Amino acid sequence: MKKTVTANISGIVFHIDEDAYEKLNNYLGNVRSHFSDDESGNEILSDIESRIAEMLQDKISSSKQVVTIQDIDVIISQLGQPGQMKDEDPDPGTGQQKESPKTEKTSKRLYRDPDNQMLSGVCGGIGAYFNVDPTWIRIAFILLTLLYSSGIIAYIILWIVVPKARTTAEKLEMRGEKVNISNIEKSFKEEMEGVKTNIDNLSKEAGEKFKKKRNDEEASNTLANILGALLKAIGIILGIALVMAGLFMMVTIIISFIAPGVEPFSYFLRVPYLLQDIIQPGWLSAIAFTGLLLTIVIPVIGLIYLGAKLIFDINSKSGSLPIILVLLWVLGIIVFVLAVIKSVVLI
Amino acid sequence: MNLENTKAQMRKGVLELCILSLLAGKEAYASEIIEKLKARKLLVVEGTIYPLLTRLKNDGLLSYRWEESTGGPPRKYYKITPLGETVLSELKKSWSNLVESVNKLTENNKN
Repeated sequence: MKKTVTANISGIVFHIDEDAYEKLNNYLGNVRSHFSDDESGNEILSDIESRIAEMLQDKISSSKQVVTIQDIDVIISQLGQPGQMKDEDPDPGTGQQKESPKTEKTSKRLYRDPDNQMLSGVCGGIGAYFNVDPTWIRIAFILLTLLYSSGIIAYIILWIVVPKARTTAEKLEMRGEKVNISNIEKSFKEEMEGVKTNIDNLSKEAGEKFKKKRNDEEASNTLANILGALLKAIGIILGIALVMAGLFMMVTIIISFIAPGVEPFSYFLRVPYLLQDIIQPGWLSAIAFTGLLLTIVIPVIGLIYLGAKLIFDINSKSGSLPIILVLLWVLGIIVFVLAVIKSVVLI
Repeated sequence: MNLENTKAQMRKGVLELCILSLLAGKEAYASEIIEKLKARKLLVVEGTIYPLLTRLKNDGLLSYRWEESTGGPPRKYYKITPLGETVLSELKKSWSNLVESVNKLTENNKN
């Protein structure tokens, strides 16, 4: 048994196997991007589509009502790949001139890589920019964090400042590859492959969600709706309060750490000030300092994160952020305790 | 050397002449043109024809009208224009010159 989709091709309705549809859609996408710089590209595409509709009509009958992937393969081999289709340039000279500035324009840009992300894709993007395995970049950031948390601060700044690579062209730019049709085609194909492997999980998930939604709908009534809206409003207000409190605490902590003696912030947090008395200045105190900062700052980040979640979308997936926060927190405690013990022993 | 590529280039060059000749005196839609070209092994992949037809139409050598078909999508019937006729006769002339010259050259080299 196979799932089919219906598709409107040139005004005719076809039942197509899902995999066949995927393939045809991919093919038409390639043809479209191939003719995208041609002003009559749309016309050519619709001519080709109507030819496909014609050929598909020949392939189906009352005993075979569904278009299969074999049909699509035959049609594609009959029509040819987009690269074979291009009408010759009226003047070959101009054609080459058109190509060259495009290839020269190749420049790398720093993006966040959504295909290679643990948290936000900052490290993936930097890795792509310098052509290094992102894991090394991640290790570098963690090591930098041991130096007065500069890693975390740099990371957050990059997260805010560096844009995410959304389109295929941007992803190519990120890797420093030429933005031309064959490359876009290539990376599109790679993406499609990834999509295919995920499609089973996805459809399963969608099915479950749909079922759940239906149950929800059956159970819902106006009272529940009102109650839900009220709860949501309370959640948002609570979220805003959490975020604001978290941000205030953050500022206080940072200032008390940078300048431990400054009034009035030192009233809020005397710990770093006291720490200076216990531990002799030097590399150990720097490490203890960082450990302590992590231990205190991370719960605050968690608070802001929780608040943000309450404001925007409670049901969204958390990803790996909470786990990373907890790990960093534990790391901070261990580093702090070890550094303090070590310095006491040294004294 | 890529033999298939050279052959394809040769065919591509004369495709315009072939399409104009096919449409001279008789209108046809894309699939009919494709069938005829394929029967004579002048066309390998069908996709080539669409950009070509569109360009000939944009250059004013062809015109077209829509016609409903039974069951299938509406068809574009192409027709040659007076300008197309002039271009066709020019192309025919240069084609026969070309064939003659090429034949002479290849024959001479044989001997």
